[in-house]
Amino acid sequence: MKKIYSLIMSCMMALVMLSSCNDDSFTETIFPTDGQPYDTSSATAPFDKWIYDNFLVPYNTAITYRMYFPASNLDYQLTPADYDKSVLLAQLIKYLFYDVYIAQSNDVFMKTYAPREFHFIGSVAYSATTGTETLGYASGGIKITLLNCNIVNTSRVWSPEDLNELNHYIFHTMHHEFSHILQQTKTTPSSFRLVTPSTYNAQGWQDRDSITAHSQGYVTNYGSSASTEDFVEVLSSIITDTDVTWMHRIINASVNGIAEEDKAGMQALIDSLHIEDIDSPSKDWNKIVVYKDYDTDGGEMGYSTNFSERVSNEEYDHRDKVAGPMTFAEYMKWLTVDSSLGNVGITAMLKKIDIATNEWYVPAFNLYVFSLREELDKRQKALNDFLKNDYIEFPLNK
Amino acid sequence: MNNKNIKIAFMALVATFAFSSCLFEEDDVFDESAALRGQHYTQSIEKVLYTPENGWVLQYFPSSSPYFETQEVKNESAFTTFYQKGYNIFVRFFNDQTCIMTSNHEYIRENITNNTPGVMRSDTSLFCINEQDGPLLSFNSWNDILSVFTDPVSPVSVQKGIFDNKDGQGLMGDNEFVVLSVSDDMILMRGERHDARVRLVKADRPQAEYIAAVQTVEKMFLSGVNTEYLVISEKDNEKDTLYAYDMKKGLVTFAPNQGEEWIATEGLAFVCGTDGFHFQFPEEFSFNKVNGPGDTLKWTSSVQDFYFNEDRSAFVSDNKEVRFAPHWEYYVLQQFGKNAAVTFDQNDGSAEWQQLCSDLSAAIKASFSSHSLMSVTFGNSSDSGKNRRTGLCFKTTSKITAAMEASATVDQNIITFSINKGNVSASLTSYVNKKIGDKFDAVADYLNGSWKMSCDNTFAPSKITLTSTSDSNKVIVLSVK
Repeated sequence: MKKIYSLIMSCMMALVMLSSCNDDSFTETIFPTDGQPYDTSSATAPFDKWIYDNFLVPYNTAITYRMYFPASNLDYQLTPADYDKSVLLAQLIKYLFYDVYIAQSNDVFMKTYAPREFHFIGSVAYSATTGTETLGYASGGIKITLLNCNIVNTSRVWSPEDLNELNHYIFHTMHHEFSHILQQTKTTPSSFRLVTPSTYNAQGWQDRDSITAHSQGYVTNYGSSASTEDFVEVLSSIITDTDVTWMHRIINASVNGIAEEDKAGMQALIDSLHIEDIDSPSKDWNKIVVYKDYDTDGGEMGYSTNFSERVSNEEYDHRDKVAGPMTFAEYMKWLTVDSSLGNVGITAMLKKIDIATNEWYVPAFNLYVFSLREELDKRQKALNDFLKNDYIEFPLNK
Repeated sequence: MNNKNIKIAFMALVATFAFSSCLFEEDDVFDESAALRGQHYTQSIEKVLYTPENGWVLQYFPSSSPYFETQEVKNESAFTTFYQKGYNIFVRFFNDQTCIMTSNHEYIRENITNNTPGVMRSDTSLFCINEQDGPLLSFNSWNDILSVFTDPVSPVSVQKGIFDNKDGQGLMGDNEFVVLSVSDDMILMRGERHDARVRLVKADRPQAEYIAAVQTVEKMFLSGVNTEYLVISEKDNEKDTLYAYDMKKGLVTFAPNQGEEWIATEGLAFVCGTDGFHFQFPEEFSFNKVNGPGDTLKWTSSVQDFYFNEDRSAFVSDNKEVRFAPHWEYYVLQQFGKNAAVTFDQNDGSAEWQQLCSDLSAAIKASFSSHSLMSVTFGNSSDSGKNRRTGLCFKTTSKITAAMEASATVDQNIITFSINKGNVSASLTSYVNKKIGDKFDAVADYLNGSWKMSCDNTFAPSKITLTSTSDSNKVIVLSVK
């Protein structure tokens, strides 16, 4: 009887299993099939075709210039990007971002690592609780959301201020976020986060002014929020920050003392950054004034310069001038050399730059970050020619 | 496995087999796939948007919140309360995904920068209908007219022409709207982030005409001389009344009675149309119907849209239950407290009144050849010190005003004058000494008493006709500034 039951059960199980089989063949897709790479009936079709030809086909990169609310950050009040500004920004991304990397590496690099999507937002994301502005973010290593796109000047002649603003708000952010994407493809050296491990502050970084951040070994105060942010801030600062910004940074980071070997390191950094007219009397870094800062109890807080103020430090009371004005060369002689200071200030900054560039970027991508800076600088100097001759307007024509 | 377990397993298997479906074909409930149906619904909305020859009016409210507080950056103590208002934005949609928006609202930056408030401006931008949980109308590129409401720029700074001072929320506006319902002449929507209720209303006339008509209503409603309105029950002829204040600010605050504490101070944001106004949300007005001592019936009317009544003297709700009437009588009364703001017309009104004025004028001329009666007004005399009188004034030269102490009170549309002939100014005493005091007294006697008022324009009254409550033949006309 057991055998009969078992036999019947086996047959029935086979039947049950087979009863779910169906020779259902594929039917038509449920989705609309008249899709084209872009909508030819749209007023934006010429611009969309330009994006298709210049980004989507060669790099599989979409540019979402129409604000897509669900893909933005719902925590913030945001406004859409202006269409005409988006048109120029897309072309600037090609000229000042993609073509920079391609010129220094090759097409394959951007085909491999370029973000799959840019999403343009008109305003910054402002946090009323912390008072911080978010200028952009990278999502999942594939998408870069660029905020504050409405600052782009659509005229065909730009002033240096226009360029500085674009670098600060857009391109610094873009290289920052792109570096995050690269970070997610190749492991970064663990030694980086050990340079200044005890002073990262994710909650209070915005309260650090430049003198505090630089003297602690950070290129920017945002870099002091976390080691991953610090890492990409080093890279994006090298690529996009101006000579003036870098010289102020070097001076502020060194004013409280350097190690002996830092002098050579500072000179090497200046050479790598291709700081122009380093000895020119017209440059403000050749008019350095050094102050000694005091807290409200009269205690010494260290040195600061005419390029820094302790604007965020509640303990700060006043400062007294101790040296200057002096040239950068004179400043280098004035500096206190004390190797016992440890990994702070310029010592830490130089170490981080070396790790991020020579120990990671070069072996990981066969790219020298300072060459990217040089290429970008060359293109930025020719920007007005680009705007005059190559920038294509795609007006909505109403 | 024992026999019992095998039997149980066997029965379970039989049951499974018995209940397994033999049906391999699915009946199509819908003609199309869900994606195609969504696409076609979207296309039908787009068609509705493109159709109106004269475009649409977006009756826009930035947020569902009645008000919000914003803090001026770098001035932590400076909080400013912003009551939400409604704004008319004219929109024309085109089938190439562009739209042109036109408006003259107070946050258009070109007008702020150029100090040209109220000038109509237009801007072209992009839109699309997205399919998400439902159709979503998205204005997805910057537009100078609409996007200023979504930019997180401090509205306090914006009013000073500073457009880069971020405060996190800005005016708390939306640029994406969930479509709630669609008809050929109206599309109801909800703001995606801030939950405002906005609607697109088909423009029934060319844009310039529509704008002019709306501006006429706005001028009457918001720029007129009245600041206070009566909200009157129209149901069963019960005239229970609420008082509404501050319509000019774009919000409505109510009190149960004039001068009493407000019972609703939150902004009831509204926009003006061509023939009335529209609240963002249906508003409930509560009334008391007093049938007798201890017998009060409370009832509530929920209304959202008000339209002009036939003689355009008030707005009546679309359900005919509530009337929104300018409290012009109160406005008239206020004018009596100002200097010569109310003038009695000597050449209008009943014949008796005109004769009294004529007799007075002749008597003045006879007494002082250089004097004549220039005007009869209500307000303050030109005398100084203790001789200064507030009341009925007779201006006889450019510098001399004789006056009798008088007061005026208003109850509904009845005004009552109380004139004290015994308390007169020094200027009038000199006329009395010339034996013509009786002519002044005759005018005062005629005016003393109660009068029923009617006006030429309830929203901005300038000419008031008074008919005596005791004698309908007694008529005087007065003008207010």
